Amino acid sequence: MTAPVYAELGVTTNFSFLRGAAHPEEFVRQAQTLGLAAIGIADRASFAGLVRAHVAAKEAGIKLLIGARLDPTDAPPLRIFVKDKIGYAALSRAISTGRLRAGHNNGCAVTLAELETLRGYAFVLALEPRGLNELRRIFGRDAYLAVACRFDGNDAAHLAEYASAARDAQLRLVATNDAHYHVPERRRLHDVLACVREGTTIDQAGYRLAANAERHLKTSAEMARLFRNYPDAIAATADIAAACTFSMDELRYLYPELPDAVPGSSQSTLERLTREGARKRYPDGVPAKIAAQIERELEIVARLGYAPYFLTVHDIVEFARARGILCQGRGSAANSVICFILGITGVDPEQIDVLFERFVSDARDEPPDIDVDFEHERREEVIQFIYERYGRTRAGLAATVISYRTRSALRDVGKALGLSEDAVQALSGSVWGRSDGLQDAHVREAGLDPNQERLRLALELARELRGFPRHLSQHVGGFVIARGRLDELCPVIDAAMEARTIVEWDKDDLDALGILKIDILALGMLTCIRKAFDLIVDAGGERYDLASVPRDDAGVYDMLCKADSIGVFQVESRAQMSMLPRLKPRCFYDLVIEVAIVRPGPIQGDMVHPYLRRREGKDPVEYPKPELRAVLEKTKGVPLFQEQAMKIAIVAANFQPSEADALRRAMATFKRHGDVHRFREKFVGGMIANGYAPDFAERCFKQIEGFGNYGFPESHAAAFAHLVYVSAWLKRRHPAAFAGALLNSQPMGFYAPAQIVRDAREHGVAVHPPCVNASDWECTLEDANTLRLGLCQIKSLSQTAAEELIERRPPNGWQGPHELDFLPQRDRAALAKGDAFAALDIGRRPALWQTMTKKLAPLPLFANLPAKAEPLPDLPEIGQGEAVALDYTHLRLSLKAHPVGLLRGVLAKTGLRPCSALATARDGSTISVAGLTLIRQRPGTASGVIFITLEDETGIANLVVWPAVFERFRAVVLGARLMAVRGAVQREGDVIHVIARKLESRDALLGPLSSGAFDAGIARADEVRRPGEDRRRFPSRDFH
Amino acid sequence: MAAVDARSRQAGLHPGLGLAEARARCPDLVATRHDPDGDDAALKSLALWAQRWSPSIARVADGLLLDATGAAHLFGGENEWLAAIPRELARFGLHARAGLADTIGAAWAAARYGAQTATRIAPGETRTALADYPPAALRLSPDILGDLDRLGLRRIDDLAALVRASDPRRGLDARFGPEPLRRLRQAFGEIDEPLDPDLPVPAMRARLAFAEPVSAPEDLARIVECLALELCAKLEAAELGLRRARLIALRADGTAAHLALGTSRPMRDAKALVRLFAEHLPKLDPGFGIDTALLDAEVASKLSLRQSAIALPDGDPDLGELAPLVDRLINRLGAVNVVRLAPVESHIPERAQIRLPALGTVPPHLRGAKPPANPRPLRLLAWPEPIEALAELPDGPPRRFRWRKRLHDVVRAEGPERIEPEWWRAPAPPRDYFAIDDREGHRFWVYREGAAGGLRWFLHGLFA
Repeated sequence: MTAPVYAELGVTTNFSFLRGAAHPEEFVRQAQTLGLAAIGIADRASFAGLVRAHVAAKEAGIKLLIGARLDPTDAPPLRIFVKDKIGYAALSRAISTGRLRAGHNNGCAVTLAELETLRGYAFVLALEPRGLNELRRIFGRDAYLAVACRFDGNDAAHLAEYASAARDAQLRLVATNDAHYHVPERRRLHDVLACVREGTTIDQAGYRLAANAERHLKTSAEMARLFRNYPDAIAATADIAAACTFSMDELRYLYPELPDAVPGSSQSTLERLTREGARKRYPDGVPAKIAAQIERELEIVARLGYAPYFLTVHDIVEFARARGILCQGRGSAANSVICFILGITGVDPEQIDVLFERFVSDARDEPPDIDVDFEHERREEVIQFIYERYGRTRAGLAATVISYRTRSALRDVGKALGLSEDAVQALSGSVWGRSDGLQDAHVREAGLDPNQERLRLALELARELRGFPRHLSQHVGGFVIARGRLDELCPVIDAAMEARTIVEWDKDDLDALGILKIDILALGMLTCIRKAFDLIVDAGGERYDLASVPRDDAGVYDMLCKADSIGVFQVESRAQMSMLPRLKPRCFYDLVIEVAIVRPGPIQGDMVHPYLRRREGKDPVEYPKPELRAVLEKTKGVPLFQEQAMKIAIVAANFQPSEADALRRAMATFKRHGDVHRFREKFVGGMIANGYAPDFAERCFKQIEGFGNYGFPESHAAAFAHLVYVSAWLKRRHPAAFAGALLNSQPMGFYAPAQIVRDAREHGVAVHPPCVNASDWECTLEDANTLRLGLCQIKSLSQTAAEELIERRPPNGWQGPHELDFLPQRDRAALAKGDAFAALDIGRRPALWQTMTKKLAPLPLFANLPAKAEPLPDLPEIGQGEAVALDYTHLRLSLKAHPVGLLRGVLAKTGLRPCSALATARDGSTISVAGLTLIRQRPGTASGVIFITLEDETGIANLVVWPAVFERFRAVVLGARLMAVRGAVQREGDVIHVIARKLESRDALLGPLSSGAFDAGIARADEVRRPGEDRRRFPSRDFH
Repeated sequence: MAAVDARSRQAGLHPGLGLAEARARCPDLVATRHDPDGDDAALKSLALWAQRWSPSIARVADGLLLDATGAAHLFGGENEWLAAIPRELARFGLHARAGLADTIGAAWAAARYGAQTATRIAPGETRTALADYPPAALRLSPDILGDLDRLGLRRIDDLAALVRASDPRRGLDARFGPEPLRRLRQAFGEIDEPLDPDLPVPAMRARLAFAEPVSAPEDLARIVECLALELCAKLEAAELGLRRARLIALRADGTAAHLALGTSRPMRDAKALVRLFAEHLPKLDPGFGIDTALLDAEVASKLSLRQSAIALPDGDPDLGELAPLVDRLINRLGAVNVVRLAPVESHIPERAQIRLPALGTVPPHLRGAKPPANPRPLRLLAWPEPIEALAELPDGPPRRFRWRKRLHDVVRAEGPERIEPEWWRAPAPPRDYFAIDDREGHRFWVYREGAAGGLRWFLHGLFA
């Protein structure tokens, strides 16, 4: 006898956060293995896990029922499965309505009446035997009562009770197993999740844990046995499954049309705009080559129907332009002539021959990709514009699934298992400078015994938990815009951030369904460039924009070759600075390479040195095989870009283009799935079979692995290189405006204001301090070469107070703090502490004394008399060292002196030389220098080596600290503000390092009270100030 | 971090540093949670200890104030007295600093900022001695200290000079409020600062004051009731019991009357106390009326909290009517032999309850624990007993079974109730429990363990 066919209609995945204990994919695959007729996923008011399930179900060849669990306020909890597309849209809308009404992370508030739109289009399974008559009235024969065996000893009675309730309400009973995990072994994790959810420990959780492990997927035969007295409940599952014909493949995504467009007119509009724009871009006539390219691109766009997409991006960019918001597109399609002409990008297609067809082709049936970067301070305007233009029913941000990572998994599991906080901390490796991962050795290193039972369990379960989704967050800026209602495509919910709504799917989900996402990203450097352009105009200069900055300025390249790049986009990091003198960029394309080469991909693939050697002519340019010449020609035979690596997969390893794409995707998410191994064999094996050297094949694959999440394609590098050039040009030709703009755009970049100002002064810019009479809120130019720091540099001065001060400033200026009584005392004190009265010859202490009185209502008699300064007491004079320390505390920099300079005499006595001595030090000689700690970094690609940058009054010293040395001097590395080092000089061309042997803190010299002040001088790129943070999430511009 | 030890300080750690950063610098750091209540309690007990050095002691945030008057000479003079205290404390492993001066303020400063572990400022030398101390020695708030530092006022003398030079009301007070000047004057002895001893302990006292003098007998009874409740609550909190109680009635005319009585055993039962006083209350003459009434516990002896059945703090058993019986049982059998069962939230039947001493307090982690949802047998066997049973696979109940050599035919069964082991404790096979009735009407609780092959049956309990 064959077992009756059963479909499991009660699946809760781990996208019902902290409830389900298995991935949607695991459920689907297990259901297929068990031979179930179908599987119905119903997470709590969410579709977040459905796309993954859908993809997995298609792969496994099992039917997937799309549904959700809802808890209406006036009915029993329901599991709803949609029959068709109409039901899908209605359920999606109902979830959206309920979630938006309930607010962020607050469940889903729907009423039964609101679910009436589902009548006839969905099955509704009540989970409790109440309100059944009402359900039958609304949903008729589509309403069921679901029941599961609980194995609590009372199942017979339980089933009988439900059966009779169903009979009374004339509903059919339907069997489920209320599965929360795919296999019984997951019970442990399910218990742990319950503890996390309830905020308790496993020992305390008591009856909040399940008594047994029965909530897993079971075979048809087992389910039939459990429900042997209710065969119809089993049959009902199959009936429901058969009637649900909806598949997510039916979701048709249509590119949005502009709200005011005539339907179907997109292509002609795009052609018109392009031709008009071309005449404007090329007033002397469009070059023949460009004209031909335009026609070719328009033809491809027409064939693929991408015109609405280009128009949408154009529309957004036009809005930004009208508002004076600087922006620039990047990505495959952005490097088209069309985008250049429409002003979406400033990268001149003549400067770079990135072929449009290479990225947008018929073969790859996926949407074109344009990301647009906007000024970071003003991106919100653009986002709100999109919401407004398309409405929240049509536009929403993509989601990002925040998953458990090693650390968070350990933290939660550790807590749930009742490990001590010390143990959890030590385990989760939130200790800077410790390797990540859960190796036993690492546990021992943390002073714990991995064999101890609880600890062993914690490690084991944390490994299992890693990769589980924890919550949904908003994507950094990926917008989904639909032609129809977005909330009928996917539930739209509130993000944590005010005024943001998101769809429940992340970028992989959207990709899988072919749904377009436009990335509206924030880029600090664009803010900075716009502000620099403005400052140039303010100082009487010309008005520039991204496209009009003079090209091919040799002075700019000279500057970059010397690694003189503080503040310059992308190439100001220490790693980039040591690359610049080696790569010696001389043209725009060199910058494209410079941007792409200091990345995990090329570094892990060991491609950097071969490239540099070929560039310097030390090695001949050659190709592994002639067929790769076309792929690698631009980069001297060495693959550097993501596109090249993918192309190698196709040309040399016989990948289909779609497979190469799958490979790229697998790399981006390889932590979640274990597919890498399969690709590796195919890739390396394929290349070797085609006659490539195994070593080269291996390196190519490593490079692809290195690209991972941070894949850096040429098309993006080109857009970034343009900003590198523009910012470098500003630094070279308008150093005062550039420094001012950098300061006005803080926080951004690698360096603190102290280094930016120091660098500007070294480039001949006169810098004046913030002043009550001379400063605006932001930094300003007094002339083309003189920078006046803004009041914004003064710590804890409010912008409103500063603006009032400027607004009411008398023609001959303020005479002293006593005139500023209209400001809150806090702000007056901030001005005094910031030494903003120095120009009036009122020092910090007298000014502070005067600003300290609480605001008193003036006596009526004296109300009209001008405020008078009261006599000042004798306050002790301030020493220079202290004045500098106070500058650092309150202004984050000092124009008076460098703190280390003041200590030079003392330092010299202990044999410490100035950093400038490094320039003439012999390679291999021993040297001792000291300086303020600027940056401490431990790059993931450098196997534990720590890089430290010190700064004194003469320059900087770059230290290399090997792991063994670091362990000996850990407290110094992490704690010292004034650090002394003894080590060996290592020279490589113009790049000089000190290999540290001994490190010491000289904080005592800074004085017990003021050493903390110099924290303000620590660069933003420093990692120690952000302990526990993952290198890759650190907001550096090195890895985008 | 709230505090660090000497080794941590050496490694560059200091209070105020974030724990994460401290761990980064010093991965083998051992950190324990800051316990301000514990600190407070420790200081209290230290104050009791310090009674031997002086009868008059007050606690301040991070230290003790001892009145040296009339105490120091017992130890051979002020210097000896002062040096002895930190020395004695060092024997408990406590690092203490001590200061002695004319004023509380100066002594406070000397203890914290003096050059030696024990610093004595000789009589009349306060001003000179304090001149070079930092303003922090004046017991000022961090905000004020920060501002003084920014103004460059880093010695007490800088501050004193400012006061001398200008009208402090327009200068200091307008900026910092009255605090700096007051503290300065207190330190210099220009204004008086009495030591306000929060100990000497022994007596406990309840106090009641009235706007209008009272004298009616029913009012007096009511007053005694109020006072008794207050006093007993205090005794309870201090885990003390009274042996003698004294009621003091302060009459409006300045005279007083009192009424004293003793008890045979330490007690703090308010009702009993009221009953005791009730007999004697008519003897108390209120005169023209009483405006304040005091009730003192004259001899308070240690009375353990759990011996009290007066009130029921969280977790204490409410024995109700059983209390006298339990008392008598304990007297006969000894406290450890009289127990009660308390629920523990565990699915494993034998772990679902715990034996506690009948009068024992429920440990905090078990408070609020609920009994299992399903009825459990009245009698759970200490050890499940193996039985031979015949049952249907995979999860049917036994049809008949043999227990202690007797065969039972099963007529009705409920189950299975499947209980998996607590995986975080020890591995064990899952069990399927059945509640079964035999032909004679006995109800048993049996379970099967393991799967086909290694399958075993046990009897675990009897319902009736």
